[in-house]
Amino acid sequence: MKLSRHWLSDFVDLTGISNESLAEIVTTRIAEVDGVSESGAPLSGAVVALIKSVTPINSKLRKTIVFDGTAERSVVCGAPNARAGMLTAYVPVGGKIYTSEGPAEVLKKEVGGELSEGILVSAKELDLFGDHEGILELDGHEPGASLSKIFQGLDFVIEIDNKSLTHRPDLWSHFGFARELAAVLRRPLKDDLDRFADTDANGAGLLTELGSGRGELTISVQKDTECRRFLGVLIEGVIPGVTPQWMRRRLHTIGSGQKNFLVDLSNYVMLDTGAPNHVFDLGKLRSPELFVRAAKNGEQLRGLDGIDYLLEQTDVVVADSSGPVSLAGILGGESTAVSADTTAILLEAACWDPVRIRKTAKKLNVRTDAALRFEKNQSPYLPPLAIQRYVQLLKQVQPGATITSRVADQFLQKPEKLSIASSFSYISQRLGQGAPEAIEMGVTLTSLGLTLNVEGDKFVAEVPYHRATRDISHADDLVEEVGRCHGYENISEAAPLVASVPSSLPAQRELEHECRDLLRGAGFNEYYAHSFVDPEYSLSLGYSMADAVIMQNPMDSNQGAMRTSLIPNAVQTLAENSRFEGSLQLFELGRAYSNKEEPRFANYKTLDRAANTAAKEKRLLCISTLSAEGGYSDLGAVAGVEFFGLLAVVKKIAALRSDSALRTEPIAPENALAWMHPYRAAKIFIGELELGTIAELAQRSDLKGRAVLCELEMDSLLESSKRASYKPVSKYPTSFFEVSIVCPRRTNYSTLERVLRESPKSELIQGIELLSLYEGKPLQEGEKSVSVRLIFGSNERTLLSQEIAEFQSEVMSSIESGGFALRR
Amino acid sequence: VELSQITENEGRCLSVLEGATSSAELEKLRVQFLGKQGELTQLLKSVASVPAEQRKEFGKLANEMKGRVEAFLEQKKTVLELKERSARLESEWIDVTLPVSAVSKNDAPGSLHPLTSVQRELEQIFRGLGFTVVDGPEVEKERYNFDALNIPATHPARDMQDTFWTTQGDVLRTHTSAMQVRALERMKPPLRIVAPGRCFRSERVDSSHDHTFYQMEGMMVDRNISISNLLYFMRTLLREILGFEPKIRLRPGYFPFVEPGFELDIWFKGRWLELLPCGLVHPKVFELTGHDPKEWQGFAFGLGLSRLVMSRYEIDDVRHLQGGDLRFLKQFP
Repeated sequence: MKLSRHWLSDFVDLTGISNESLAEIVTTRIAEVDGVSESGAPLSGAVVALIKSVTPINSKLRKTIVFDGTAERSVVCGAPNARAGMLTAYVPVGGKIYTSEGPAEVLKKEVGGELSEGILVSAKELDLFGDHEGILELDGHEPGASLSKIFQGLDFVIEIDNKSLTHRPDLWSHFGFARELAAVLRRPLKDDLDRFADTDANGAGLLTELGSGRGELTISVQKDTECRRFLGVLIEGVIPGVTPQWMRRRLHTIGSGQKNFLVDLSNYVMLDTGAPNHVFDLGKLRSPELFVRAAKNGEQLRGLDGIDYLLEQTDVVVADSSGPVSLAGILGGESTAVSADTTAILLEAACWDPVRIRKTAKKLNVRTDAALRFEKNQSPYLPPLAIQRYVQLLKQVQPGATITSRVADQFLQKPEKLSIASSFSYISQRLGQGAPEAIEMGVTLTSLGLTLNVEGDKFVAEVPYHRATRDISHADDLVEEVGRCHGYENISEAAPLVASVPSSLPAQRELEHECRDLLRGAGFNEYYAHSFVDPEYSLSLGYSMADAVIMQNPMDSNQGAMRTSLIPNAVQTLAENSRFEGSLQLFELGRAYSNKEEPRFANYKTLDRAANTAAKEKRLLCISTLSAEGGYSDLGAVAGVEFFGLLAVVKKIAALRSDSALRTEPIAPENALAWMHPYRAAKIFIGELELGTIAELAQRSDLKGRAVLCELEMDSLLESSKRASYKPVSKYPTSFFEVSIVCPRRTNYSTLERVLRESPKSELIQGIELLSLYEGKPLQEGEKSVSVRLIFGSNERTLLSQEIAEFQSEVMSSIESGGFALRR
Repeated sequence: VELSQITENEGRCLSVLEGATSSAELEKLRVQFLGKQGELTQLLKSVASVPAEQRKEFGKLANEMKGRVEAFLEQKKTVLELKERSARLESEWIDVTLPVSAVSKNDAPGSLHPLTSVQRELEQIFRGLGFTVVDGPEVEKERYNFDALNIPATHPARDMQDTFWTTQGDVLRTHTSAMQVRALERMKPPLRIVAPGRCFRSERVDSSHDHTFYQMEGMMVDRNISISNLLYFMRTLLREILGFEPKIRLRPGYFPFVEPGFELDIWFKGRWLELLPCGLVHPKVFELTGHDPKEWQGFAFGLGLSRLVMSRYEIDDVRHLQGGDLRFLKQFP
């Protein structure tokens, strides 16, 4: 919303306050200023001039002799409306005008072979209003009169951020801001429009005096419309005609479009008082009888904007006996709009339920200035201001206009008087050090329109009508009123007197930090991916989306669901980055979401995992690598080095919280997800706790090399526990025993290890090391040999050679009874 | 055997030793002269054949001579070994400017996302001020995101935020302020919390807007909390983040869950910049979470983490933050 300084000055004296300080006062005391600008030409030197004669030079240009109050000047002019005897605007040489290229100085120059001493200008050239419609007509002024007197010169425009007025229905007008500025500046209001609010007489007094004609106007309001108040009056002898120039300029300054006087005035009154109002062409209404009612389902209304609106029962309309004539509180109807031949009008101002207005305006997507104001919850005492002001200004311009009816007033919801009990010491405590004295607070609240009943420190404040709709309802609202008027810059800082307590970092966060540090140290790069996923894509990787959280209003169909795993993002991130680098090491710590109750999506238990959550969210760590195929290990050339490279990292991560051994279990090819290499996929466990999965990415044409991805559950890792404990280092010697086991090629090492660990004397085993893998002669096709070293011994004594021999033979017989052969 | 033989032998020996060019050659010479069968050793042994009256002197001179030769040898050895060592080292020259990745596979330094680093830094600052770090869900019940924050369904403030809704009727939290409610519900005042995290608003994505962004909510609840206290914490916080004493101001700002509500501006490069919204916790929020606003007061604030990261590193496009482009990410080691 834009504010004009000239307009504000109608209501409050701003003398002595620079434009900069005015903007500063508004922003630090009242509402957020979005921007400031100047409007209109400086007008210095521009005067009213009388055209004495007009002589054509050619088909376009004419030479005029004008009298500027002191001398006659010769001026060349192209305007078709220039005529002898006309009073117009003259800018002498050296003055400023606005052109399409910006401000320009008027030069003495030859035009069409004639010397021109200055120019005659249009309103547009002075940035006053309107389009290029010829030079300005200034009837009723004396030649030589200064234009800056007539039009107040350069105006200063403040644009307010509408969001900062969400809670202030009283600030949606020039009078509203002026009232506020008067309170902040402690200056009196020059013209207090609140006198029209007539709150004591409940609206009856002044309005009764206003209208007294014989014309009949009936207004009936249905209760279920939640209309708070509806005022109407009939006015005859009006002319749509041209709007006075001063009013056109103001409307232009704040960026408002213009139509005809009756409509412009309606608009002006809203911007002036804050009260939306509407004029119907009385001749186009079926009869001077209006019904405020719920719309019928399927009923249609063509709005002033030319759009047909299809209505429902939840919408409210103003209708005459033939049907809707306006969408209540939002938009007038086209059929009853004022037009060039209008002679009589029905002026209406009302107060509507903000929620109803908001719903209809949102549903039909019509955000008019009226709707914007009503949905902020206006006071039912406001509409009289619109009626009074409209009549007042109309009569000023068109004295012939007459009111031909009583003011019909349907006042359905009279608000209770609102009082707040508080104390000066409470306000002072909330503000802190530097709070104003009680007497000062009293003055501030009174200047803001509150009526105070003081008893010592305590007081009861009665809230004025314009602040009583929602805005001021608590003692804390008064803290804000006093604080902002006093100026928060006057409040000084102070440390609170509170107990000093150590703060904690959740275990989860500590683990996250450790994982990140570890991974960064190991050369991994962290990325953040979006929480949304394309359900189709996710499905194509093998994730069921049956329990996924689905978006009602996604930005895009490829962001239609919340991700159920970090893998889909990881695959994309690998693919995108592989265009630039052949070797990648990436990780993300993030969340996946699901509607399903399953242990993997644990119900949050503590604050950060509080119950009563909407979806189930789990924290995951996804690590991925891409590398060229092949590589050597301690075992020589071995397939899947990339896989084990990542698994080694997982092992380090698991060791952050667990002292149990990390182990993997193959995922059977038929259970592998679509993205997984069916023969290189495993579940990862620490002890019996499932930590996550790891798998090589099934070959893709867009990725060269081998990609391996794993996804770990941070909450599982957190559940496992690690406690450092000391065991004395064994004083007794250990022995080694190396065996080579021959087994079918696809025998898992974990199976062999289990056989060894389950042998009768296995309590002596202190470690098992894989030494080598071998396939080929003299082994048979489809066989392999696995050589391991067993480290064994006792912590209590030195083993006897007989015990050693026994151990070795137990191991060998276990291997054989396990169905495997020994390679001798 | 003559006495003069001693001097002759010494002269010859020293000049031969002087000519040695390697420690190996020197060792050979040592054996030649001083070994068991060495020439000088033999000379010393020949003392027996010296006449008795000269024997004492001969013995003394011969021993002195041997001492000098040995000392010379030792010195020569040190010099030669030093020379040889430096020659060997020189032969082991490597080109230290070779690209590491060409020679060693494990050269990658790794990187942390800038949001991670900034969030961690802030968490540390707040922990120093006695604030506990808490986390909460990103898919939220309406109650936490709106209702209990004094934003009922009909409130125009709901228009201020473009909300993502799930088909279950839940919201993706539009601000971390939802955590104020969770904290007040689950923790006993007095309390001090910060809640960093991911938020969502359905905004058109461009270089300065993303539908996903990070905030950090802060709240302190205690007895007799005032605007002075809020200012104290905000200034302390900003001083820590910025590393200099900031010039700040409060001006009115509207948020339904605080009263009074403020925008905190900071003076930066000659003008006021809007930095963070804050205010005293609205009594309604206390009531809606089962606390007596007469007993408890508090302040709350919201830090835009994404915005902070953008300005700290002068990042020109917010889409980088969740773009996953390594060429961006690797700039934050």
